[in-house]
Amino acid sequence: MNKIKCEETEILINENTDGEISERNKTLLYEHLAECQECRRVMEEIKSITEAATFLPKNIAPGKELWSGIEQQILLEKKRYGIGEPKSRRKKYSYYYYAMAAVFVLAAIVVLFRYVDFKPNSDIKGPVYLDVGQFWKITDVEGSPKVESESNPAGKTVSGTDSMKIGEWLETDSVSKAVINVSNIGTVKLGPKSKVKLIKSAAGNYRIKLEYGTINANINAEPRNFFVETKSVTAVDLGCEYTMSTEQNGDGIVYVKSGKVSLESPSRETLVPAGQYCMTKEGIGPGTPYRAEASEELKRALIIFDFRNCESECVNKVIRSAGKKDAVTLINMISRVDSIRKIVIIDKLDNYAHTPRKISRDSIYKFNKQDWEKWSEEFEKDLHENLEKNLESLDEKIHVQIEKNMELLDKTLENMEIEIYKNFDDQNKDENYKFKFRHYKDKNGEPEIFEFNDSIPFDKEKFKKDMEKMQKDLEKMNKDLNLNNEEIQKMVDEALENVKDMKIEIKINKEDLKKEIQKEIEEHKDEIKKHKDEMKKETEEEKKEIEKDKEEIKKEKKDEGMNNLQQEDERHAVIIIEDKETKSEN
Amino acid sequence: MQAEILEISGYQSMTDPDYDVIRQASLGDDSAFRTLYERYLNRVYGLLLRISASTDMADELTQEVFIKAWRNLGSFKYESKFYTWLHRIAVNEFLSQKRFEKRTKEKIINAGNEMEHEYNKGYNAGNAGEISIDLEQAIEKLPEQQRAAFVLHDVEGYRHEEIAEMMNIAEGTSKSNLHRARKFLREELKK
Repeated sequence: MNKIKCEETEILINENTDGEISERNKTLLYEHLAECQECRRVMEEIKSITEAATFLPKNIAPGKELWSGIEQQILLEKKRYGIGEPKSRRKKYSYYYYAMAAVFVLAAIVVLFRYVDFKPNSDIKGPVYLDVGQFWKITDVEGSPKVESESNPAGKTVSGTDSMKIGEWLETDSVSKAVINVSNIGTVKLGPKSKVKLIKSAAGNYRIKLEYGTINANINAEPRNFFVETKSVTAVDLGCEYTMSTEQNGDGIVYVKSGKVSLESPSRETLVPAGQYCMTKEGIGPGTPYRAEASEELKRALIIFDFRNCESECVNKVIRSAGKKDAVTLINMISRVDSIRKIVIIDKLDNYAHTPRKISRDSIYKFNKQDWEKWSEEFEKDLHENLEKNLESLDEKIHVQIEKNMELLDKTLENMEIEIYKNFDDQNKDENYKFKFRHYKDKNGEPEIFEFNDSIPFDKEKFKKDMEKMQKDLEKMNKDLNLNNEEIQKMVDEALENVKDMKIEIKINKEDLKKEIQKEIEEHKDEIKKHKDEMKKETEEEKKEIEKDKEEIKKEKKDEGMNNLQQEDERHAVIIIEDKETKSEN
Repeated sequence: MQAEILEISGYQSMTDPDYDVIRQASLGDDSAFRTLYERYLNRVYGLLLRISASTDMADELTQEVFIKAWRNLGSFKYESKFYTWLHRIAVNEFLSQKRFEKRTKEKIINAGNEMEHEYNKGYNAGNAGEISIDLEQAIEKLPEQQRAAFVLHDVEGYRHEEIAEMMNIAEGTSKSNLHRARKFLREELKK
């Protein structure tokens, strides 16, 4: 019986501890343990840990009382959804309730029309919010947010519909949320563990301070009407919806869902368009906008560029890391780099879309702020049109990805198109093996099997290295596929684990098999290439089908990736040793 | 006999004393729900405390678990033990919280600022002996995925199939995480 190594043994020890080991592997394991003191020690340690774990207390009492928070939430939900009241009781009081509600509404209307200045802004499209002057309504309350003021620092709990006035704070805890109606121009949703203060409420100057936490602002007004102050920046709404999170010290992040936001500090100003993130830092201000899908390399380089000492190589790194879709990032960098790098960035942007031609390159470094803004707007518009109009560019990413996948797959397939068959004979201690391998002539064809009549020595170490390389290829493929999908990542993990586990199953101690196989590959390279070409052609046809439905494209891309990995998993090297009798028969 | 079979197979048996309480609670009986809370609080908290290694997070998530359980009691079909059902909710809440933290915390950490939220580390989960205390402390140091796999498998006794379903991962990944966790703990306990 072939022997196993210590690194392989540890996996078998774990399986044995959990009662999930096959009989064959159990035999291998105990044979190894009989000769290896170190592994016996490992087994004892694992056994000791798992036994100790079973005795750890499963019931642990919290250090504080938790029921009141739960009960509060339950009561709130019951109230909101009318849960828990017997129907008969509800029905009994329903008429009374409606009558009271009607009286209340009538009274409210009278009060509003008589005492409140109702001035809907006809220039603003969309819903009109009742302007109650210095008071902003708080609605859609969840949990128990509090309105605090200097005269009442402990605050009063908000329930139902309430309001806050200038100088007051609205604070939420971990289970609370609320929506603040910003006069007649929009809303600010306050997330859990957040605190805002109403600073000003006047036409053209609606202003809050975000002390910490998260808000989502949706403003429908002329630009520069709504302001959010934090310790690091002031967010100036330019007609948009955005989310802003900040820590107590002012460090934070902004994401713009639609429209644009200007993030301003004493030393910097950044225009963040839709679909972009921007970090902010206390003492410095806003960084440079970037996409969520920007590469990790670019994000890391931007941090240094924005918030640390960034020398020329650092700037070069940011420029290098930015791709076509990072044009907004590059544009925003222009005003903050030297003349030489301005030109470098413009050159790079030129590859993605037409930079405004009316502006001579030589004059670019002389631009003032207004020139830059105008130039940026024109460029972004052109880029946007370019991307939208060009159907190829929409699929380009997929096309490029497929091409990359094919190239990587080809390389991996070169190693994996070989199947080595080896029949293992437990009884045969002599270990003379006869090998045969097959490769597919064409996709639908029968495999062509090549046999070696002589015993072929096999280089186990070299083969192991090839397997490791294959594993690395799989990992690299995964990286290059830029698969952020967690589900796919799990599949890859599983595939890698299975490959790794299967390596343990291989017990080979002959040399030079690989050389022979390589030789056969060389001889059959044309056929292999033909097979690859056919697969490429098939991919092209599939790509055309993908264009019809974007949703299916994403799914098929994922599926294709998963299928590729599954195919590779199925065609991993398996070694079977033919027994001597078969050899002698032949 | 049938009840025993159900018991062994993990089903919430109809002869189980909790069966009536669960049923009453699902029909809106608040005191019945309170009873369930008191019976299972420590079991839920214990799991959350170990997999999160944070008392603050365990407190917060325990509340979330029971609130969610109250909302969804009607969907509990007695196909598993009640605490298993609660544990599934707990693991889901934990993973959701970590995903949320990762999205917001990652960017803030990348700003080069050492403002990582430091949840309270360290807790005295038991007094079952010196090795237990060492083991508890070592478990705290495990990377998140490995810690979850170890706690769910070796401490709580779930199978890999169940863990994979709870954590929405492949069974092989669960095994791999567990093996790595045990290796880490071996080395940690030698220090």
